[in-house]
Amino acid sequence: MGNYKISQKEDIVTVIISGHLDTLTASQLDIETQNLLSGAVRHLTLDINQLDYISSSGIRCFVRLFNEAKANGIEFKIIGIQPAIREILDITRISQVLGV
Amino acid sequence: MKKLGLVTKLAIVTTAVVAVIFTLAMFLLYTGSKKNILNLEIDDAKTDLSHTAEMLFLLKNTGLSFEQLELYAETPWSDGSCQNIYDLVQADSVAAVERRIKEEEPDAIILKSTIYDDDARYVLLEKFILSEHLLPVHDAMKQIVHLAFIILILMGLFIFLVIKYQLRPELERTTRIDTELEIARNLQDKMLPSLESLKGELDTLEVGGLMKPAKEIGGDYYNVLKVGDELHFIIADVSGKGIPAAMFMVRLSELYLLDLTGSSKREPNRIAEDLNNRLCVGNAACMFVTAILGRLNVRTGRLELCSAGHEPPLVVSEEGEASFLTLDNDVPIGLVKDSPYKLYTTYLKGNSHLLLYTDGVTEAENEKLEFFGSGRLSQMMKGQGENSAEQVIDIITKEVREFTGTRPQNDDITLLDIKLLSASENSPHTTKLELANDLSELTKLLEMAESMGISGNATLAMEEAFVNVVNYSHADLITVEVDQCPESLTLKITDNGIPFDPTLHRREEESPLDENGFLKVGGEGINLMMNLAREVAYQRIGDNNVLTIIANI
Repeated sequence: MGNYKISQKEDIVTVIISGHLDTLTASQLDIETQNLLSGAVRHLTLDINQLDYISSSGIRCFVRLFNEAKANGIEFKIIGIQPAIREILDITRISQVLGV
Repeated sequence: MKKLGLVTKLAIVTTAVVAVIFTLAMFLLYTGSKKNILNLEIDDAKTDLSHTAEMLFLLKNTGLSFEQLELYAETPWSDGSCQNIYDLVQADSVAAVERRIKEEEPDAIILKSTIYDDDARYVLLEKFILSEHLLPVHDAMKQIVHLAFIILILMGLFIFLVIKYQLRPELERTTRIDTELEIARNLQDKMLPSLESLKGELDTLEVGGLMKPAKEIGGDYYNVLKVGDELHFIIADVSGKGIPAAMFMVRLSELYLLDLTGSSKREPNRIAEDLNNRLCVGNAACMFVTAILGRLNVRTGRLELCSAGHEPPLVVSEEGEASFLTLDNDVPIGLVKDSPYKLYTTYLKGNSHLLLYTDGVTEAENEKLEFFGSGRLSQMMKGQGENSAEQVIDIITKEVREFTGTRPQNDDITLLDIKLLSASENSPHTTKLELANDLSELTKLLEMAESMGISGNATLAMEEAFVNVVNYSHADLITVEVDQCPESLTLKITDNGIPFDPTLHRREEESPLDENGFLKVGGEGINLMMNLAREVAYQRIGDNNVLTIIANI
């Protein structure tokens, strides 16, 4: 099951997502990251180094965060992409947008 | 008779009519004249010329034709030994003759006389002496009989000549064509697989096949070929029948074998595409073939099929259930160049039969002009799971023959039965899960995937398919079946919701971004599922959506 750890240091928010990000866990993540980008946040980093499964809901969660960051002029970054996850990001063609 | 000319036909009819008239006339002549006839026999040894006048007088008084009498009298004795019939009359018989004529009142008198001349030669004279009122009728009869007799002889001669010069070459030609057709038939038989020799190669399979042409040669075809662990097979029905169909069938047969020897790794639908493109060339007569092409892994039971407008295959399980496979029917081969052919993948379980047939079976007609029908076929196949492939072929053949009764076979009949024997150790392991229409049920699905050791990509395809059903189908029940094989995984997701074909909702846009640089949302699920699976096929079966996903392990 998916695990998230959200941490903020100054204007940098880092979300560490590990394990499974399926339809159920993604909706959980959606809720938890609802009001994440408020205030003085300037950078959002998703660390998915420990993520080994992502479904389309997870992708949509990433997309929502990307769009929100863009709307608020926040820099969006995904780090630690494993090959299996990259394949999924490639298929949904968001890797080119994220520049990863 | 079709090949006879009009004149010959007329001649035969006329001869028959004349023969009837002749027989009738003869019958009338004899039955008519044999009534009340007086026979007179005279021996010349006892002839007494003194009674000539008396005899003459007597014969005149009976009203008989005197001229007739004279004529007959002159005829037989050309050597002059006896000049007159009166010589024949015996003296003491005159009174007796007179008495008999009075008593018997004959319609006719037959005068027989035997005359011995000096050299002891004898002549038998037998003539009719008729009373005058019978004579004209009798003469007319005789003329008809004579005429009919002459016509009969002439006609007979004519027919003899016709047979000799016209019909016989025709008969010879027919015989020659028959011989050539026989040779062609043998050749065609040789193009069908030798199931005997195949037996040695197959330890996990049984194959039974039959091709029974409606005419001497047929346009149906089947073949079975083992390449490695794969059994390739085809059943085909060329449009039309007889020689043109057979010629097209030969082209098909050659191309099919060529395709297999070229690359045995090809999927049946690729072979169908290739056959189609080749047979579309030089096909001015617009002939076409309906066919099912298939490939069966003899170890795992993995079955790949493709249908070009052909009758659906029937699967009979070990338990005896018989059900038709609902394949997507693509265009018959030979009609439209570059037609795509879809692949259908499933698994054949241990001890079940795959039965392929041509419409000669389902459209066999009985005396009431009813079709044998696919319903009857599946009905009779129920419970046949235990029979061997050959037995199944025999049973169907017998059933069709009993059904059609005296009706002639109107189309080529072809049957191909493949029975996968024991489920080998590598045969698919099936897991079935019933889920409610609720996203929370996903947990069960993912747990099952994990416990089965299913790969991430296959799990993802399954999850997306399930989520799609939950989101769109309004189903009550969702059933997930997983067939696990060494090299692949088949997922079958069945739901009783509204018809929804996710394969039609695949979205492939130019850019993932909208005009403002934001990422677009929607369609990721179906996109992922379609991309991660090797194949995705949707079917609406009854009230159910059935989505089959094949993924690599």
